[in-house]
Amino acid sequence: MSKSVTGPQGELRILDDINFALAPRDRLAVTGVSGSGKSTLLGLLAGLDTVTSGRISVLGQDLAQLDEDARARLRRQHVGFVFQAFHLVASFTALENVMLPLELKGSGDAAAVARDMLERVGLGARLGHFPRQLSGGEQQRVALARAFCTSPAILYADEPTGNLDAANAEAVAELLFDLNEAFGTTLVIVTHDERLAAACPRRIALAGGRLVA
Amino acid sequence: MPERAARTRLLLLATRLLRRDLASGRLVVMLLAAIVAVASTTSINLLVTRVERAMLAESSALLAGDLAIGTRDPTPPRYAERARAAGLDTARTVTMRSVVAAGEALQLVRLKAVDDAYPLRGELQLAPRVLGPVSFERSGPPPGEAWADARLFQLLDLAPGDRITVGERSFPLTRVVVLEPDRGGDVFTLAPRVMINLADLDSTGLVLPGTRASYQLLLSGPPAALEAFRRALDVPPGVSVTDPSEARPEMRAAFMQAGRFLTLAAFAGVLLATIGIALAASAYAEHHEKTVAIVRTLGLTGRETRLLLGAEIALLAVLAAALGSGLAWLVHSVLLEHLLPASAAPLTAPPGSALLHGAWVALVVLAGFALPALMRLTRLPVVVVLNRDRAALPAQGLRAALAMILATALIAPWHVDDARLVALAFAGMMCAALVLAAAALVLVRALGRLRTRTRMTWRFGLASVARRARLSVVQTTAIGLGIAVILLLALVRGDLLGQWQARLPADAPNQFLINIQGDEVDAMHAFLRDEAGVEAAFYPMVRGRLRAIGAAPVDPDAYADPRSRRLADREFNLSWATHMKADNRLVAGSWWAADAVGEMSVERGIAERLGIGLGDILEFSVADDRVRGRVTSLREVEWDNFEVNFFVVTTPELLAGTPATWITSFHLRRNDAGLMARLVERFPSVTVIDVDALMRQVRQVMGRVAAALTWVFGFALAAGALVLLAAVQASQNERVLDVVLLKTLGASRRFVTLATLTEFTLIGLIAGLLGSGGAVATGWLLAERVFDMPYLPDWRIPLTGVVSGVLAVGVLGVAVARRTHRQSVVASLRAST
Repeated sequence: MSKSVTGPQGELRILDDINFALAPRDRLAVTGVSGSGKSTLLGLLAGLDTVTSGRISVLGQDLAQLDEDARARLRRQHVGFVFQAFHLVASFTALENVMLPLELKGSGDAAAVARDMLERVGLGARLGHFPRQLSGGEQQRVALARAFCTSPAILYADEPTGNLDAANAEAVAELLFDLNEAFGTTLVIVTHDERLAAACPRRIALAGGRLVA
Repeated sequence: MPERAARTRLLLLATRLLRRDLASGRLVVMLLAAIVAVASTTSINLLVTRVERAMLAESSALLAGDLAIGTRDPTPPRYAERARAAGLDTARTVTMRSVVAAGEALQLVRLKAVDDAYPLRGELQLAPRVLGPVSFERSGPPPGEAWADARLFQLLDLAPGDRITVGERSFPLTRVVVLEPDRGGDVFTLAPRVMINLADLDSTGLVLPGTRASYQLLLSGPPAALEAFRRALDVPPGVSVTDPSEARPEMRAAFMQAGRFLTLAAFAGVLLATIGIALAASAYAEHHEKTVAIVRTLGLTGRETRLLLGAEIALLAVLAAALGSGLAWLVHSVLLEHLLPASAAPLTAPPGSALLHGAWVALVVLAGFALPALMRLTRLPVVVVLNRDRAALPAQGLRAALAMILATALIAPWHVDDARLVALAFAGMMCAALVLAAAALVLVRALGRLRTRTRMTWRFGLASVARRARLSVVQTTAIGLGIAVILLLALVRGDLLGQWQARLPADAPNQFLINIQGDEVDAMHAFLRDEAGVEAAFYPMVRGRLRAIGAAPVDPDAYADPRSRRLADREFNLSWATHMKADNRLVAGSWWAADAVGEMSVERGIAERLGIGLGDILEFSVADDRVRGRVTSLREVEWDNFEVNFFVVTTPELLAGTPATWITSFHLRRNDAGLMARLVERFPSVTVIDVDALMRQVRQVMGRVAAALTWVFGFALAAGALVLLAAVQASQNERVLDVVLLKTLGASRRFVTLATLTEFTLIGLIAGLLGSGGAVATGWLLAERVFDMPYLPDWRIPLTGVVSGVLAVGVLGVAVARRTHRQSVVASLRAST
């Protein structure tokens, strides 16, 4: 696959001829310096953006053949996300944030499942807290609970420890891999964190939009 | 997931979002602005509709029914049959001129025969003798008896129990009719009135083929049945239909004008509120970029996102409609029940339509002014969640502008009978917004250039205004418009109330004396001067029927409009004068010179109805004579000021030889009740018409309207304050970051406060200047083009605008600075990531 954008200086190629395949339960780390195209790749894999040329197949579905709404439905049913900036809904409590994907998916017992998940990530006592009342580490644990609560087939994590101190980063990484194991999820992590990358059996590196390793 | 279940979940999600956004304060300004829009428009709607209905109910009493069908031949039975089939009550009256005899004396009277159902509305005021105690009755005379007004008793020197002969039948006069409900506007009729039972009419032998009589079928019943009956009614030539809205013209004129102004003022308040809504929605959308991107990343489709945002706005509209209508209810109840004494007429139930209209306003203002801003979120690329920087929301384009214009058009009060004024207000607001925005842009840029020459705090304040140029322009335009609307309302309110007070002063005439003979004028003048202390003016009055306009004879049936038919068919009160009355206003032609002859001046309204123009030769029959004159001027007459006025005035020589009586009016003080008895005793042939009760009601309406104006003004002020808050809210996120950065770099609290104060003061100054300019320009336009009044520039307007702009926005600036100081640097930096 390739991705390019056209700007005032002409066409800029962000990803160039990237090619790889993942099997169920694979755990892949995508590394590279800033501006190497890691986040763009993640956006393409999640169907948040579209390729300029080539093809991305997720769970047997060619993303290019799906319109934006169909890609949204695919994410709703099969994909989970964890972001560097946590991206919790500021006006929702921890519980409501975790309930959100369950409700969108049509789960009948969203509150119960969300409560279980929050207890599982150690936040059973913080259900009614708003994101601003939680530390960075706690917010990312809520984000993990939200990502895994729908038992997604694939989970995309964009620098999940990038905004955390070392101790919190370690705790969150441990939790991420534990949940990944427990739910049997295929995991794609974009990271600068060598320790996090090292914990992934598969690894690719990007430089200037090209696959270098 | 199944469609219905999905929709239910979206609705639940929207409810939760709404609840949380309200709790966090992000939607409060938008909600308050929508509440103000609903409350402003609904309270005035409720007030206008309920008072209007109460007045209609009173007017029904003046008509003795809810509807009257008049014919010159016996009313065709089909009307009564259809009315009864429609569930309406009916009553019949027959009125004709006749002569009654008492002994040797003869007197021309207006004879009225009424059936047992008469009156359907209102009551007869009766007395056992002239000037005796008044009692109220809901029925006319029983068969075999006649009732008459005091004038007949006085003219024929009769006492109760004396007999009169009507045609071939003799009746005992048993009661004095003080007032009958459907005498209505016909209070100046000269002939005394006699009332008998309809069952006795045939036995008088007065009704013969060719007899000139007026037949009336009175109807009453539920409004819906009446409306359906009226819609299905055929009105061939010769048949007139009168409804209560045509009764009490002076009262209705006062109220309709007030109602129109109130509705327009409320509309101005609503427009102001919509600016607040648009600004608040824009700030809300910017704050929710990430939220929408997150839910879309989690799998919400574009359509579902639109549904989610639409549902949140719909729920907000329901809330605003409920709270706004509640507030409107409270306000109009206070206006009706507490601020002023209860009206003489019972108030009807509040109309559901006014409350429904409130819900409609809430939905339309939020859909038109908030939804376009929110819908931009659905066009934001989902991939924004992966970006470290904030993505710019797409600008609101032509579609949003069209939505706002459409929404404004949908809630505009087109029902007020001057659509031109509504369109003018609407177009004026649009133009003012564009001009203000252009001027604001120029001023904001100019300020940006000044910043290198100023001190540090000023430099930072100026830089803030210039750096957020687009937002600064939007803020100054919105606040400027707010100031303009509030100044304009204050101005027009003051002018209008002043005009009313001038029109109906406390000593306005409340007694009319008619049928004064020419040789009684001097004596009456002296009597009023000595006994009442008034120098009364006397006007000659001649009854005449319009026969021809130019070469064309007047045929009442040729007019399509029933009111014009009635006017063409009735006798006019004509007068002559050398000078135009001070309360009249010339609208076409010119008033005659002292030595002019053969000229006539016609009231504009009647000229329009009957198709009379300048230069037309009018011919009237007066007694046995014909009077001809050329129309050389048209006048506007204020019928609601209770002064003596005439539809047609001529040069003196035209009517000099005709049988004229005189009319005068004066103000009778409350404690002078005995004066009227002495007057009637001294001048027995004079008829006294007491309009004090009517004037008290008009004053009550005016007082109620003045109070309502204060409330409308209050709503506009509230809307203006919300515009201010929304404008500040729009830049709050950026401002917090600026302050956090300054504090991180070591800026003192004083520095930050001064810089913020500078920025807000500058915005207030520009908005004040622009708003004042807008108010002055619009005031001039309204005065010259709409109200047709000379415009007197007042330097206090721009001063008030600038001072209030600087103070209000400056004070808010200090409040904002204090609030941002309270935010912790760490928390703010964390929230901004």
